[in-house]
Amino acid sequence: MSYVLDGKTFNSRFFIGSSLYPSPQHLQDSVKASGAQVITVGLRRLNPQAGGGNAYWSMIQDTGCQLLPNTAGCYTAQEAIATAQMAREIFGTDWIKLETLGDDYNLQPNPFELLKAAEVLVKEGFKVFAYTTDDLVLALKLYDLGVTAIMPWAAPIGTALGPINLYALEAIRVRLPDAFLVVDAGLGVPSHAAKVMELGYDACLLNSAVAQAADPVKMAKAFASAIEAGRWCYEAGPIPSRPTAQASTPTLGTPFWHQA
Amino acid sequence: MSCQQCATIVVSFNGESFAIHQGMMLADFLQGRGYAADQRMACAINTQFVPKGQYVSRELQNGDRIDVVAPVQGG
Repeated sequence: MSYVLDGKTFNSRFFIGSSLYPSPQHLQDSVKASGAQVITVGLRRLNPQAGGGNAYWSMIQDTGCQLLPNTAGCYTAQEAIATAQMAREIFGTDWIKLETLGDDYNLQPNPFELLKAAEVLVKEGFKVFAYTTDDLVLALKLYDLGVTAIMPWAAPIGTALGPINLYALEAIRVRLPDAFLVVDAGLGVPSHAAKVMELGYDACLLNSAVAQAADPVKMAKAFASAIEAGRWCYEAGPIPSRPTAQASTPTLGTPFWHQA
Repeated sequence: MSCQQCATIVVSFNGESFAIHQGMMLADFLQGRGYAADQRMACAINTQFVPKGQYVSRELQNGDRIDVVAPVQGG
C-alpha cells in the first residue's frame, strides 16, 4: 500500500479535507480515524483581532499530516498563482492543490486558467496537485507540464453523486499509467471510493462526504476501509467480467450425468 | 503650503476602503490594522504576492488593493 510522492513515503491513500466538520474535535477525531497523512487547508481574509488563524494552525499541525494548501475560490491564473505563493510562505510547503473556478453553477474548474497557472507554478518549484475535470486531453496537458498529481473530479464538488463518468476516469488511468492520480470531489459513499481505486487511482481526496456525515468519525473509518479494499483489488488484478455463466466447480465427473 | 505627509491616498484592505497618508509603508499599515509581527499571515497587493521581507520597503500607492490572508479550513 505504501508509495513515494515528492520523495516522501506514505502509507495511506486517503487524502482528507479539513473543512465543514461540526466541531474542531470532530475534525481531529476524523483525521485520526481516517489514517490520512495528507490534509488540505485553505487561506481566507481574517480579522487580525480574531487570532489571524494561529489557533487553527496549531490544531492542523497537531495532526502530523503533510499539508496540502488549496487555491479554492480563485477564478484566474493570476489569483491562483498569488494564492499559491502566499500559501507557500504561510504553510512552509511547496505543495499546492491548484483550483481555478470556471462556472458558479457546478463549480467546474476552468481548464484554460488551470493550465496557465500550472505552467507558472511548476516552473517556480511548486508541487502542483491539479484539481480538474475528467477531461482526458486536459489531463494529458497537465502531465506534460510536470504537475505532481492530477486530480479529476468524480462529480461536481459536494454533490455526493459518485463517479458520473467511469469511462473518462478509466481513460485517464490507461493513458497516463505513470501519473499520480487522485479522485477529488463528488464522492458520497465508500463504495464510490472503492470503485475508483479499483480502476487504479492512486488516492482519493474526501471532505464533504466525511465531514457532513451524521457520524464523521465512523464515516472516515468506512472510507479508509473502502480505499484500502479498492487498492488491494487493483493490485490483485480482478478477473474480467463476462456475459455468460461459468461454473466454478469442475464439470468433469459430475454425478448423475448422462449423455443425451 | 503643500505637505506631502498631509496628502492622503485611498487603498482597499480586504475589500474595505481606507484613507491613509501618502508615503505609508505596507509594514506600518499592517501594524496599524492590528497585525503582529509573528502572525501567521501573508499578503498580496493588486493580486501580486508580497513576501514578508518586503513589507518595510513597500510604499502603498493610491488605489492599491491589499489582501491579507491567514490559514483556515479547506477542502
